[in-house]
Amino acid sequence: MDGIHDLGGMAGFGTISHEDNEPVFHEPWHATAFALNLVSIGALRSYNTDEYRHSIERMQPVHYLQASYYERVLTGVATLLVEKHVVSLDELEERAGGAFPLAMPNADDPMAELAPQPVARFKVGDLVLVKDIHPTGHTRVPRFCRGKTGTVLHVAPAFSFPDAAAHGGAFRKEHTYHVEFASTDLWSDGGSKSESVIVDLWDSYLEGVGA
Amino acid sequence: MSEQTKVASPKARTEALRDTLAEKGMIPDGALEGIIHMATEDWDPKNGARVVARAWCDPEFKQRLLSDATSACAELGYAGIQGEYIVALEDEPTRHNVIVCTQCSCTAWPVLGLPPD
Repeated sequence: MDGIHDLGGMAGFGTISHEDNEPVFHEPWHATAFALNLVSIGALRSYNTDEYRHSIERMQPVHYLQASYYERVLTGVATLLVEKHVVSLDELEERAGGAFPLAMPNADDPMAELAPQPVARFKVGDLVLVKDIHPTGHTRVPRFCRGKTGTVLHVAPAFSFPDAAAHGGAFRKEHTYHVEFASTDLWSDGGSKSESVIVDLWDSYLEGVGA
Repeated sequence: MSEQTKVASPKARTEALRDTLAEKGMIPDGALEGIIHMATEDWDPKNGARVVARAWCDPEFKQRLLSDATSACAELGYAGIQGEYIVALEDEPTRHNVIVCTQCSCTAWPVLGLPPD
């Protein structure tokens, strides 16, 4: 989904603040929200990690930008548990004593048409082109590298394909590659000849170049 | 509830979700506490620092780290969730590596800890 979460290359957010000796959790409820997610994935098996990531991506954009990190975690977890009828929104709001905003629904047709690639098609040194796809559901191909050509630096083991796993698609595993892009190929006037960007990309996001 | 209802605080919403699940008997005893203990005590960026320090003074470990970081980190006991596949990159005089997640926030928890929020 070309949403607010895909912020690679975006500007205008100001400088990044650094806190010395930052605690792991600033508030007890942050820790609770984090733990509720892992319990829901692990012990309850209510949803998987890819569904969870997409539940945050589906938040109303204004809510997403205003929410703290752990409010996003909470909103994603609660959205999925309501959608899967583990809890009801009414009981949550009654207990919370106020409104409990959830994320927006999944898209009707969330997956791009990408043929499964169970066997690694590329090797170190290969030139690859990132497909210019814009699925309305979950995807792990960042906007900033779509349509760009890079070089395979490393072939990693096959791993669950997130676009399918997030939307109940048939389970499939594909190799991921560390693909290196010249930063000036991604941002012609913003990159530097001495910098490159390496992105982890699944096989079916890519097509071969030349040869 | 109506659109006009005031939004409950994130703290109240979190506690409402926790208590609703608990009332249904869906949270195993000690599960939340166990996860929070792991996140605050076990997953620590100092673990990654220990891996690097070991590589500084043990050339054979350094070679194992560069060729298979997942098992090299596991030698020191750093493995598990979000540490299923780890690649170590070495900075050089003319190459500096920076790790950024531009889509979510899953760092390699066992060696880097949770991300800053």
